[in-house]
Amino acid sequence: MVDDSKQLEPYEFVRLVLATQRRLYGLVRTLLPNCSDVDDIVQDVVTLMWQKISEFEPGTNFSAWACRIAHLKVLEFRRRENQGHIFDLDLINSLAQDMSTAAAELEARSTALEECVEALPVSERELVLMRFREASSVKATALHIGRSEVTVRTMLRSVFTKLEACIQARLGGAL
Amino acid sequence: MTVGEFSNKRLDYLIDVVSHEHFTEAEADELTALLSNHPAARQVYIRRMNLLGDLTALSRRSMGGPELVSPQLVVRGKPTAPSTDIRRQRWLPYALAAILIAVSTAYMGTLLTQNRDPAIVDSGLPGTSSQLAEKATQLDSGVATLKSCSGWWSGAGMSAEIGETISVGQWLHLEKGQAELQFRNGVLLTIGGGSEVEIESSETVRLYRGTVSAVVPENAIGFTVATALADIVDLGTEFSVSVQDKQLVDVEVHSGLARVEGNGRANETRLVEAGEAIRVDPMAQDYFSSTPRAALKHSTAKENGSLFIAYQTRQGTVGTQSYQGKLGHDFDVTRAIEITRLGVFDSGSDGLNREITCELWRRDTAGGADRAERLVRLTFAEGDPGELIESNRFLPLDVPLRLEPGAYSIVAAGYGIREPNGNDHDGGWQRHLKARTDGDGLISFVGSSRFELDEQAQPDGSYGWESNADAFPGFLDQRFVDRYSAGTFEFRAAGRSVEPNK
Repeated sequence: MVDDSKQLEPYEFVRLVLATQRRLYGLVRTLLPNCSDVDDIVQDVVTLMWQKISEFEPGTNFSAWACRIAHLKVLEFRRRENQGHIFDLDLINSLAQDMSTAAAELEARSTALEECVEALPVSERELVLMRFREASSVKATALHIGRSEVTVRTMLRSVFTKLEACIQARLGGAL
Repeated sequence: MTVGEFSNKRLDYLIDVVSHEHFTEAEADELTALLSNHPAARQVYIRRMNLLGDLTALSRRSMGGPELVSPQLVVRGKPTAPSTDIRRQRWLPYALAAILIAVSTAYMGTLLTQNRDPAIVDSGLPGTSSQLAEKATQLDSGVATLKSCSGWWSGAGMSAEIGETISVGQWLHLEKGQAELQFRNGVLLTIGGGSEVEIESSETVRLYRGTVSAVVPENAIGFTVATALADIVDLGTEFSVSVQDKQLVDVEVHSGLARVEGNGRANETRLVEAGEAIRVDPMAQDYFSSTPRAALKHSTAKENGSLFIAYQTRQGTVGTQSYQGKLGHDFDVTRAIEITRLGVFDSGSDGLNREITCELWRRDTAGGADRAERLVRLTFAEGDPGELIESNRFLPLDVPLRLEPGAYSIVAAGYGIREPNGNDHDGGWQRHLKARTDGDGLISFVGSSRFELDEQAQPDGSYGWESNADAFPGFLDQRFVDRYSAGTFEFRAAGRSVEPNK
């Protein structure tokens, strides 16, 4: 039986979801690397979290709880969309477990990344954020800026390399 | 590769192709095997995919954010962009909206209060300009600064902001107009419209097409403009290079001396003196040939009395936000100017569908918004008032308004659903569609844009934005000195006579 007095208030739920969304996007991308419905899945995860809010105990690790639900949603998505999956079930479960173990490290990297994105030249920041806009792709980005897909991929790779170096520098090379 | 080891390079490649959705079945199998057998590979993979996940989340945030949840959830007391975005997006905020709508209004009130936490309401990325500058310095691969731009960049990834540090590896594509790069070694590089360049180092710029002119000081001798057919090396000079169709290269030296080094079928070198022009043509009998001068040099000199438009938005640009209150941009006058016309943004450049007002204010930098003084106000009626220049409509002042050096703001109001303003939001999606001109230093662009936050309780208990026609917009926005496509003005250097301002 759920103790209502301990139930999460809606505003607190919204705050926690917004703070956790990066992990959710990361988890879904990790488990379903070629999925073009990441937004839909994350949205479904949040809706399911709200439906199951009574099962969450305030004060415990919201991010871990959210990731468990996202993991379940990914498995459900795999069953529903029964083709085009890259990874088998065992690998998906291993990756989810590894992510759970590395949660603190990933959080630190996320914080560093925000600063590193800030430090990019405006045009590179625009490019990389444009690539990850809703329903965007390398092809759409290439069309938008009038370049070939190969060029955009090269430019993005260069930005990713820069971001990774920046993250490492900010975390003191510890990771 | 042996058991227990894997190639990082190969892993990078596989992650790259898979995350960009271009992979073969064999590549997918290879990645699966790699990740299944190597915990270290999984670690690399997880880091990379979470980086992509973070960028996805940042991208969503930069397009709006939690204030998009519902029109009623206007964030109270939040010193950031007013946002009743007209775009319709499927995204997390709407899922949250569905949740929030289901809860009681009492909870809603609490939510409004709690949303004051900047960690929740900040739809952009944290950091002040000075912090950003500091961070940029820490990651410095910058070799130049964009000094001016009076034209239009082709788009994201190929553009730069005035004052932005230009880094090694950066590509720039100027579709129209002219831009100037000031290198730290003193080189002034002028890029003409239709040009595409890549900054290879502090000493080398690669020109893919179009025309550039370089003025090279003595300490930067050796500065090179590289092209597919030849490298043009400065020997203490001022020169222009143009890459034409079929990759023909024209070189013109205006003063001093330059060396043209063939790197196509000919490895010969040619010295070019002041007043000379040569063409590099791989199909011609002579790889290098003299050619009449073609006046490739870009002129940056402005005539006395030249008119400038302070803020411009490219023709055809469609607005992004229906906010009805006042939107302003701050600027300082460094030498006396005359304002000849005021202008307002016309979304789609297809006529105004709402009445828009434009005001010029003198800011009191010490006394705050209450002590700002309105100097002039023009009303732009619905329809096609005034002259359309790019995406702005201009109406003349009865007499030019003289502004002495000081702090001022240009403000516009009245935009809405049928005539949206162009708010760049924190992601800066329309940066390449905006341009600024300082009239060779007559004015400088300052601040981070401003808006009017006049929150009023509506009869239905919700909160909304209500404009005060007599007030100066006192709330500072974030990130860009020209965040909105809204008000603008035309100006020129003032004569010596000192006229009263009004």
